Amino acid sequence: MDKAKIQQIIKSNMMILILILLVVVFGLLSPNFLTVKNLMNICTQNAYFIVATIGVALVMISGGTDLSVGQILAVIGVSIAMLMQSAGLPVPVAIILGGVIGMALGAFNGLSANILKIHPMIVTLATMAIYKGISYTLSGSKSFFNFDPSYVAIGQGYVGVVSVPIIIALVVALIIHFMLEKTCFGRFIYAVGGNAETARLAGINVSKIKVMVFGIAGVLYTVSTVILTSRGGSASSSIGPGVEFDAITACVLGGVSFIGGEGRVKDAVVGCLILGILGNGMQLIGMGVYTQNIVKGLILMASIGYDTYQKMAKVKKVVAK
Amino acid sequence: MEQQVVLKMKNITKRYPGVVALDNVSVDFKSGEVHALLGENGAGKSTLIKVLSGAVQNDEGTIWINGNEYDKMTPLVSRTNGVEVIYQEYNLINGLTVAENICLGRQMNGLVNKKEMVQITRELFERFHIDINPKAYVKELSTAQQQLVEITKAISKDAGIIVMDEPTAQLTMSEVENLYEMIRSLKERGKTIIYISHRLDELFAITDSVTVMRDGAYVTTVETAKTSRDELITLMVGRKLSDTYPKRDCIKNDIILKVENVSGLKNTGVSFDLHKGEILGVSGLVGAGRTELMRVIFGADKKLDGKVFINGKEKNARSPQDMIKSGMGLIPEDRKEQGCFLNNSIEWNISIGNIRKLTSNRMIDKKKIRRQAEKYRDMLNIKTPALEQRVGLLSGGNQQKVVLAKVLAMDSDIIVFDEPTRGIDIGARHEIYEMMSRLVESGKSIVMVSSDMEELLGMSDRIIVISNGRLTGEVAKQEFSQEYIMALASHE
Ligand SMILES: Nc1ncnc2c1ncn2[C@@H]1O[C@H](COP(=O)(O)OP(=O)(O)OP(=O)(O)O)[C@@H](O)[C@H]1O
Ligand SMILES: [Mg+2]
Repeated sequence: MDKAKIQQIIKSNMMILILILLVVVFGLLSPNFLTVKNLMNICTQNAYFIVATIGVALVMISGGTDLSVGQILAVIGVSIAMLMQSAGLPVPVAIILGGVIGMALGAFNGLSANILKIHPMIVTLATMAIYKGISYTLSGSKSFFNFDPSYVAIGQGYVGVVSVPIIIALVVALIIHFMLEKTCFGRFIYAVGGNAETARLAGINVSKIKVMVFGIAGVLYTVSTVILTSRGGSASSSIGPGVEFDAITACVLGGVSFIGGEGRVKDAVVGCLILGILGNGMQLIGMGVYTQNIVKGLILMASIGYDTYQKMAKVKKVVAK
Repeated sequence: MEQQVVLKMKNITKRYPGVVALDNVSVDFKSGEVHALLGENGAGKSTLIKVLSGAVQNDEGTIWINGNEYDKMTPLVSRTNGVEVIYQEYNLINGLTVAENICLGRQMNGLVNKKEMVQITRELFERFHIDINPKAYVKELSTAQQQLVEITKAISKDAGIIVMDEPTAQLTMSEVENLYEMIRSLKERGKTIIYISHRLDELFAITDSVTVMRDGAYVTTVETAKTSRDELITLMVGRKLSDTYPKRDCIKNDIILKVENVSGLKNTGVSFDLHKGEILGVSGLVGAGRTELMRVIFGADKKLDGKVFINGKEKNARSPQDMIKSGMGLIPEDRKEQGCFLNNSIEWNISIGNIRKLTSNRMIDKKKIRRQAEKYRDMLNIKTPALEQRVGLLSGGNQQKVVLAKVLAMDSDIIVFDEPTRGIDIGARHEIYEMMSRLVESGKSIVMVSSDMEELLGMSDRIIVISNGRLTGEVAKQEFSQEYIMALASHE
């Protein structure tokens, strides 16, 4: 293998290398870090976050962004809890209805962006407020506890040594990976994000793809919410908010393009794990919360800077014909 | 006037992964000359220019300019040495007016003086007979108008060396005449113009010498007055090449596409027919509305009035998707904005339009994608180290070939070619003409919008002319003449 090829491989797996580096560094700094139990724990804790981030990544690949994800998680969380407790519906039915709600809220984002012809970032900035209002109206600021044991089992169960949340996240990642890599629909998502006008002229129904992407993201948000609330054993209007920025951070860290058209499921997952390991590791070595924030911010800035730098280099080459 | 060497590119080498874009190239340029660079797509012309302007850095070699010798250029050093490059697009700022763009970077007592800017711009436009409102915003201009503004802007800087990389690709004949005027007046003032174009007739009309490049290497420099078309082609391609248009018999078949009284934002009441197995040429000045007319028929722009029939059935398309389903394909004029996915690979681009056919068990089949890409690479002679190469890294002409391949792969019965050979070298151009002939012989039908009169006359079976959004004439093959068509095109 020649030097250029090795460089290429390093470049395209940069973030995985950084992830490994982080594991090694924290392993050296803290004896409690590099244990199977701790690593499994990090994954279990972040499973819901990974699933939601994959949803956001899909939206970003199609050329949009989703700022409303946190509030959607809240609406779904509260809805499922109320469906189970106030309406007394069986667990599976409540979850399926939750999926329908998630899909509807997502699709509403996509539809609004299409109809109003404004960037999804702005649309979801607005729906973020709308969904927040909905979730608090539904919950009346109350929290919900004491879920059915079969529901709690989803978040707290194990198959062998592996927790159910990890398995769910893995299955979601594989399905979406398959969809992006192997199906025509997946290609169209990249096409729409890469250059919407070219895609339209090539016969792709751009509006439809956008709505579908948001809809699928909504379903993923439901899966995420179910993991989150069943594991924690409670649901309220404050469970989701904040996730939007972490999710976008994870995507950008992992290498999903902010402009659209580029990114893989792997990138989103790696981004989430970097954030998760950073958080856990910094805590184990006893770093203060505020210092942790500063470190996270710096890392994000560096990675976005790197991303933009690469994009600019690309654009420059392209522009200079 | 005494001509002096003002610029020497010495032993320039530039490598990219998998390609040597420039291989030990040495060329001298003199003052008061129009010096052409000629070569096939991917020969390295643009790269040489980028080395000169500092947009990319050479790996080896030096640049001698105005008595100074540089190992490498930077954009700033290049500018201060009086080099101005006119790229095809992208250098104007959309949100500013024409005048503001032209005066950008000019010192004006530190304050923005709109009146003065408009005045300067108006004078420049008057000098070069350009009819554009200095107060218009760039985003309101057509591509041709933007190109003219771009040229005016470069000239207004009073640079010593002006490079024009395919400046006429967007222009029609009268504007090209206009450009020639500009170039002649620059030449009289002792400037050096480096001129890149694939149209040989332009080289003979305006240049003094021609430097030929092949596969990144310098071949030779000849005086334009002492060479011929055939010699240039042989030098460029390395073999003899016929550059006549393929002969075809046109039999009048049934009407496949019927356009009735179609109006869009820029067109009013246009009607025409396209017969099966026919190549219908569409002529007109830049800005006449030809592209929009095609986009309206194709469902890409809004149709305000009128009807479109395919095989006698009315099609009320609301999107390109509908039209593609009815058997129509469009090769758009603007390859960067509408034709390519610049960040995706060649094979990805070629397959995106017919990806549904490249599956097995409903899953994308990478082998089929690869095979299709290989087929078109060979057919259209796409020059690239690998089919995984990002399209954005290809030379301009090769990008255009990828766009053609993408639409051809969709296998439509009716194909609209909007400026199909823009930026494409002579050899490949004839491949494309041959291919169009084969397409119509196999029963497809073609509408060809082109600003290249020669190709329009050579390829079409019939030509319709659009002026100001209206159909001003239809010319049968027996009556083809440049003068007649130009007259119809400028008909109000
Ligand atoms: N940034 C890049 N990375 C990789 N290869 C490149 C890059 N820029 C140019 N090349 C390659 O260098 C070669 C020369 O390209 P160049 O753009 O100079 O050709 P050209 O003579 O201007 O062609 P055209 O007539 O099509 O415009 C081509 O093979 C092209 O693919
Ligand atoms: Mg070029």
